[in-house]
Amino acid sequence: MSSHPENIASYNKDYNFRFRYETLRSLLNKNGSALQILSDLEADLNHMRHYDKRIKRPIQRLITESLLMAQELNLMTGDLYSDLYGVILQLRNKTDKLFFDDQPDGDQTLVLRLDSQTGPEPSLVGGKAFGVWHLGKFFKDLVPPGFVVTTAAYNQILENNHLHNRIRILLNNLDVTEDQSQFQSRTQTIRRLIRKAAVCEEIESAIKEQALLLNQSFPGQLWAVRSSAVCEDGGHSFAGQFDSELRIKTEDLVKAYLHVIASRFSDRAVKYRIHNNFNEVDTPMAVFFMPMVDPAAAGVVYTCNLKDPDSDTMVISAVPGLANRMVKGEQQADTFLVSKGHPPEITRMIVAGTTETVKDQHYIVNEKIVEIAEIADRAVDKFGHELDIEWAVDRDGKVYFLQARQLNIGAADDPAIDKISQRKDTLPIIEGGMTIFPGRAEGPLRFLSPGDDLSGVPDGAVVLVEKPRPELASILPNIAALLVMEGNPVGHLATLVREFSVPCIFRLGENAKLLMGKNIISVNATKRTVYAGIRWPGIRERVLARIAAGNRHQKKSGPLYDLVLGLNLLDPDSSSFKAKSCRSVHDTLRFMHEMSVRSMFGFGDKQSRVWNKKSKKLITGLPVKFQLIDLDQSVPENIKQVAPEKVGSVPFKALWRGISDNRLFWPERWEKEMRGMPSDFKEAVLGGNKGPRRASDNNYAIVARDYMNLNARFAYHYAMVDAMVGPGTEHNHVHFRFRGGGAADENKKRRARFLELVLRESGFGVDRSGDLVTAWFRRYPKKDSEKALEFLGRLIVCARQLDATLKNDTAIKLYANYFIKDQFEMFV
Amino acid sequence: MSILEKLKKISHKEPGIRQFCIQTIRFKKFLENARALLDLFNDGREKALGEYIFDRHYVVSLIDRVIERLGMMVYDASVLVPKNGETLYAMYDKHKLAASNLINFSASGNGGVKSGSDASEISLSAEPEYQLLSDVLRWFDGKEVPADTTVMDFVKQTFFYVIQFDAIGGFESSDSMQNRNLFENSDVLSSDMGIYLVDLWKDALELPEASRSVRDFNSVPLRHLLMDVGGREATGPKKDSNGIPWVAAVSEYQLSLSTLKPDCRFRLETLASGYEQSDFIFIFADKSAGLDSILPAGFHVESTDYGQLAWNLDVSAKTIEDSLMIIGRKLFN
Amino acid sequence: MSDQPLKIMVIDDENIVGKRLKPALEKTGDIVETFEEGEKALARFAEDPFDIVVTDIRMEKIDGIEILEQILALSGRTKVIIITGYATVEIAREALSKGAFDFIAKPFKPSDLRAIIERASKELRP
Repeated sequence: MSSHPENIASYNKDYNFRFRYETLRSLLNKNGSALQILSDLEADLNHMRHYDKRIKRPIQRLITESLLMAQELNLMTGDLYSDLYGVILQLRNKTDKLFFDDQPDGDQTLVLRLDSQTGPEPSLVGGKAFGVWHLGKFFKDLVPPGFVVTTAAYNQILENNHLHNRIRILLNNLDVTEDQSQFQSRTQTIRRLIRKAAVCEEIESAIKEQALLLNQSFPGQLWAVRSSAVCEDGGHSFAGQFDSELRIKTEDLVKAYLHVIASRFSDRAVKYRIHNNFNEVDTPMAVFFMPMVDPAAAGVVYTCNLKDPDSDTMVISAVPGLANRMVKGEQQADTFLVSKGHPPEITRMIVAGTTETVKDQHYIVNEKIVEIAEIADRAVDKFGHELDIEWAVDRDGKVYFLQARQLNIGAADDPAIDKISQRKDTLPIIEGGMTIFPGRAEGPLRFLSPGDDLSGVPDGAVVLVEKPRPELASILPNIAALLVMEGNPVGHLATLVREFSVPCIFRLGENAKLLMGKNIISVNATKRTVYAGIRWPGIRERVLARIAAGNRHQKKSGPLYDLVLGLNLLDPDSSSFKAKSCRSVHDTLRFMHEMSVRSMFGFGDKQSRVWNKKSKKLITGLPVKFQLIDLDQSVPENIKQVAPEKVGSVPFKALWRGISDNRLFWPERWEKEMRGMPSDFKEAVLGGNKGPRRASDNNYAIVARDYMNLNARFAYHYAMVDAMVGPGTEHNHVHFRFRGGGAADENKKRRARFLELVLRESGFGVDRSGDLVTAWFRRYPKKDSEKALEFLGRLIVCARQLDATLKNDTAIKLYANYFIKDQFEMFV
Repeated sequence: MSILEKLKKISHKEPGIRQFCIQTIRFKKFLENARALLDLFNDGREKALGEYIFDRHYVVSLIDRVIERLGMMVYDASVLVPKNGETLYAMYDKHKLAASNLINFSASGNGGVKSGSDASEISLSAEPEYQLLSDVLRWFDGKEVPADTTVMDFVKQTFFYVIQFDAIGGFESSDSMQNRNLFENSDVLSSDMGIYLVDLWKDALELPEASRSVRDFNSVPLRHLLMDVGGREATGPKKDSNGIPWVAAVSEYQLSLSTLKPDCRFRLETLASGYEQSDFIFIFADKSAGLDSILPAGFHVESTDYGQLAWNLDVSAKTIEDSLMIIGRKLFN
Repeated sequence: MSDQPLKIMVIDDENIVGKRLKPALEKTGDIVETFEEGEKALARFAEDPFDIVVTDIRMEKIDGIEILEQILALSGRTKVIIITGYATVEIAREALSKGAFDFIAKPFKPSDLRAIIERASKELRP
């Protein structure tokens, strides 16, 4: 291709800026794809091992993106941040070490008999089946033989039926769905899709084969089909979250299988996972098949009394027949307290639904309870920790253990608390909004206005703000709940709220001001209700304990969270916000994004104002001159002049809508009409002490479709706007700087304080030193960013009228109010 | 100092091993972007064959994606070879203009009139969607339009700018000497063969304390390249009158091999991870390198005035490894 | 496949889609009617229901979701397949949760759509 020297010569002076703009774009692009990799990784880590090969590849891609971003940031800033290279390279070397031992690719067995001596891979058979295998290893005769249809089979079925994609999109954003019926219809759709899925021949015949095989040694005709979810965290048991199918005939096993995997998407199960901050992805599920024991009695043993852990007592609950209704909480059980010892001894027996103590029950003899306690005690020795065991006794008196899992003593969650909380006597003060993160919390209310000192917020407070601002991130680890009157569920703060698992409601509306008089309030972010006073016993203590332990990240731990996913750099204004403080890849991304956008600030101004002939004059009826320098043909070519409506730059158009708002007042127009008047009169009218500079000076705006960088001098004032406004939220920013003015220093400062006040009120972050005001508005959706630019346009025009007006401090508030209420006639 | 001067200074005057590593990683990104463009071309060609049903929206978004990807590629090129950035962006802007003309022209309803149809089915080519798509394909890589107006030609052009002038190969003789000094001073000469070996992610952080042998590197493609090549001086890469002529930058699955010979240009890039869609092997060689004699079968080869390009994209890691063994033997024995 | 031909309705305001789909779907002996306007299609459906409706999601006058709702209200057994373009995942999701059988993204091959129709017909006539 031939180059055209004449064009290129005229390019020279802009290229510096062009390159810088392209560098910013490239960096923001990489940031976007890196954040996407991060969130996929986070989802994957819920069901993959940390050293899984499939995790290694995206991590390497992520770090490569990060390294190239570092190069780009250093190109933009003249190597201000070369420390980043060392940080990122080290992260790569550390993560590489995690994967040093190459693990074989995942086992793809579809159906697996649970009788091997070596344990099956938990990610293949799920936690429940693994627990049963473990139990069977110690108590072969007690555990009915079973088999598992593995997670590999689940994946294959979803794949064959083209369900992955459909499920994924139905689940997407469910955690921020406020509409209950929408939530239900989505989960319902998923269940329907799964129940109707075709099961391939290979899996179906393997199920039949295993069933026949087991029927020979265990000639029961009926089956129990249970979910066995994969979950790396031992802390989450998913107890009772998924359905079991009981008394299934051999010929119905495939149908029952589909019903069980569909139950992964029951409302309750999905909510449970959302509530526990599991990313809602289609983590695979295994299903466990066991011949039905026809029980005379069944129940659960807790090998430790949770209400009195030191009492050396077991708690055995029992019901006649099957235990499934009891496990789901639909049937109340009789309770036996059994003291540990040799032999164990029943110390108390409480009849279901009463506090009545009796001697024995007709469906189970006390000897069996003692026998169960004895075996359970041995199991505790074998496993090395307290257990929660499902048991059954058949009609011949044989004891079976059907399931065992670790008993989590600390986290005993008494369902009774929920019941107490359902007091109908008080109504919520406010109701509505959208859940950003669910959960309940209580605490003292703090209303924070923009600019309030965040360090003054006490631990465990419920914080109320009008708009979400990124600075709030720094208090998230310490507060009980966050209430926001406005807000965007896909914005940055919302992301952080989820990251910190802080119960949070957005878009509560103006009504939330009703809360301001209250001292303590109670928030139910799941149901989007807010009450006055203390409402739920125990909640406050739990909230405080959680904050104190700093354990909001407890489930997210491990080297990959430390090196890759964790976010430690929260406050861009803190002195530790620097390259060397980055501890994770996420930190480096956050840091580079912040610094790249900051570095665009004022850059256009450093460029020489002798822009070449390529610039185009903006046609406008206003007494202000603009030359546009076009970076990507967002302005029609081959013309010398361009009308504002022909400019394709989204941010410039938005700003211009503000500047050209016909409610605004331009003194230069008066000036024309006052020609011939004495100059001291003009000066008095037009403000300033030296008379206005000619408006003939050119202002330059560098524009592209999604970008603008403006350096404007209106009379004595200097304003700078740098904005990126595209369809996503991650890249968007609006930056603003204002200084100068032909007034006395006192007046300049007052005007700066006026700007600070107005900008904060409008959701900008603001920094003011002397008469220099710097403001930013980041990661908002396109519409909001455009509104912010329109607002800035009006503000720039109005602010120049204030030099002579702000005679004292009270005038600052007064004029801020005028401006916010669109009373532009006051700026004359 | 302007950003450009700074950039030139960084990449030309004081490269440093770290800079070398980062630019090598960027070069791979550059190739990835070029590859993504080829994939987009193929996607468009596939849709034009007649089997698919698509609408105007598809074609417009195809154009947008090509322009976006081309921009990413041009950016990488302008970082790799700063002095050509301005020229490249001027050319890029022409393509952006061509793209918006394609879209606007077809939107004004004239899409079908302009050019003769080359689609096989008359009934199809009469549809405006198909007409637009065939115009777009012609812009990508049409044989019947002046070559210097196609995207493909621009891609090649960009490519040669990069390969000729970037700091890694150091094809300009002064750069070449500097690079030799850089590698010589960094103690990256392998202890058992005449080749400079750089571990992309480790040496960028910290230079090695002692010299290393080929076996010390955990790089699958490097092992295959040198598998049949003997120890020092007997067989294997040899010193010539100018010193050590080869440099290989590696990570576990990546290899970037180039020559420091002042009179010859050769560059091989490969990723052979075995579980990624993006595995590839790519070679550039100028005429003096005699690519024909070292290349195994199965490569896509393009000859140009500047030299030859050869690549193999949709291949298994095994095939890449086999190719590397053959290339290694022929290059070094 | 059952002996009886399926009755398939195709709705898309880009006429190329109907034009190309009709012959492709008729090859297997099914009855295909194409419409460029949603209202006309709905009126036709009200007279005489179809087994399968293939509709574009984004059309000028009446969108695919509305068509989906009205069709399902008229005939609950009808399988509705939604054609989506780029970046319309949100709407595809809405369509699925409102009872669409499946969706297919443009550009697609008639054979891809054929496969979905076959799955749908298995549910219609097990």
